[in-house]
Amino acid sequence: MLTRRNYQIALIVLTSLLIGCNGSVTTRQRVEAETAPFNPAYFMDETKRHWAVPFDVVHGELELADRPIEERPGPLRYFPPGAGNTTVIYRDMYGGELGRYQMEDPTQTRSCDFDQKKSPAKKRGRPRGGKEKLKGGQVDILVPADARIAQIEVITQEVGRHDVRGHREEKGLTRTKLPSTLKKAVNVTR
Amino acid sequence: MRLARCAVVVIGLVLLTGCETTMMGTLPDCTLQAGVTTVPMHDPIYPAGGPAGGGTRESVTYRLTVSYAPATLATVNLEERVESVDAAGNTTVISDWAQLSTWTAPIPTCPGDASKLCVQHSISGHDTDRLIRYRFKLLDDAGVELRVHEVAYATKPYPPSTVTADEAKQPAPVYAQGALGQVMDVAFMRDVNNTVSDSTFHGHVRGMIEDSLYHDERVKFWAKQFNFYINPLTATAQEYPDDHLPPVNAANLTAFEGRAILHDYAASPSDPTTGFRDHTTGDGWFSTEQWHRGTMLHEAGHGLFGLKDEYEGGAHLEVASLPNNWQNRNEAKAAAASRCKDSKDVDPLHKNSWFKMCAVDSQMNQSGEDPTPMGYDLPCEQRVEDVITQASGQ
Repeated sequence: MLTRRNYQIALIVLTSLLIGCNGSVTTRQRVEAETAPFNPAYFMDETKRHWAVPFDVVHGELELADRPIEERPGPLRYFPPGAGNTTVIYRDMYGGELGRYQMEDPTQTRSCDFDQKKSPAKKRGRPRGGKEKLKGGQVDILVPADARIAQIEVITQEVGRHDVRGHREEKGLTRTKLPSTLKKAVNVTR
Repeated sequence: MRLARCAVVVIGLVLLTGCETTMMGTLPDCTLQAGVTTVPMHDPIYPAGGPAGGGTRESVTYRLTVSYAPATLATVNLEERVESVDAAGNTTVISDWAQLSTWTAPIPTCPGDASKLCVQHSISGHDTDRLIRYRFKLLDDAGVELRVHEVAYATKPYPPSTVTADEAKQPAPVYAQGALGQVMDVAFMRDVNNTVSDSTFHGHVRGMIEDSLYHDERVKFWAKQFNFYINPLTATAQEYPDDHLPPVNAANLTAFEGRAILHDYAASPSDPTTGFRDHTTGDGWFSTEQWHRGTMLHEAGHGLFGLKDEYEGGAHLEVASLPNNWQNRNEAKAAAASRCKDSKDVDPLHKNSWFKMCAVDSQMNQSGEDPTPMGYDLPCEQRVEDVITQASGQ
């Protein structure tokens, strides 16, 4: 019985270690080992690209712009889960979801600057918050470079699904005019 | 049967020890473990290259700071490798790893902080068109590696930054460690009116890394998971709420998690009695005084880790996993134990419509020239650790 109990304790300890309950150091070792070393040629790697889908901000709302999608160097950057109250969903031509992420509202600027007016002598302090809706301008919505992507859904306060199949993809930074077949801003789930 | 009983006991123990599995993974510890933490640094951060003995070549000092040094640490070795770089970013090894210096126990402690170890070594610099990799190896007395920390940096000028077409210019890696996409990539660039010398600007960029981001203990623990770059082109920082104007080569930076415009405005052009009102645009470009380490750490909390404001009137949101804002006091209290806090730590943020549990000195409640002594505080640091872990697996 004692042997069995020892066996159980050993199993418990081992399992606890394996699932990483107190594993900051263990997790770090794994993450560091799995991270490939820096290589500047990544910027030229054709297999690691992302697309920037152009939108105009019109009266505070996103409208698909008459500019081509740009393919850009590097994979889609990491958007932490819950990073903001705007969700970007990218779908195939049948509406099937290929992926999604959350970001801050791209039509809003935010200020968290230290309020020097209230505390001119201090070197740090409580920020003076500010949020302002953009009245105009341009915003790129980023998605992975994936030829299956046909629709992008941007969910903020307004919900819209944008058909991007008519956009001609242009590699590099040269911009071209869009085909006239572009469909845009088909609201489906308002 | 025996196995089933064991499994039940294991699950019970896991629950009892407070391990909580979230959507994003397993919660980290509430105390930073005594795992060795290393921060290598080179100064200047983006040294000018040039022929040996020439006037343009800058000498470089390598430094290493070790926290929570293992008791078995016997030797620290510094090694360096030199690669040439072409305009596309392709590299060729010119000289493979060579040892530059070695230190044996007792390793010297840092001036003014005996809890840490500090070593440094200077070299005469390198040619242009080079990517330099250096690494510090921590060894025990049997020669077993306890930790190896490698950093790469470019010498100036860096060929991919100097191609003819501005749109195609690439940012220069000035403190790079991991593959683009697996680590947090952050680009610094001058505001168009920031005309300080390279020496001053590069000093501020080093400060933003060493004295801002790595000021937070949990970020420092994960110091290997960051790349930092200097963009060769300027952006235009606009005062809130006008949109910043990104650099011409902005398309080469949108894969980065952080894009910081460093300006030199000591006062607001529109109101000299106040500071320049910095802000973040909707798509994540943010501005700061180049000497404001506290603002940098606060904005990195938003941009890199998805942390929310902890001051009244900021941008608040309760996210699904590891939030630092709550909309409900009771939910916040219930979460306190698993977030390294006591339920008494829950405070209202805004007329009882939002709640937080970090101390008032948390960096998400502060901004300005100096970072707070505590950095992000534990609930935010849990999210920092989780985001870095998740991002590496992309």
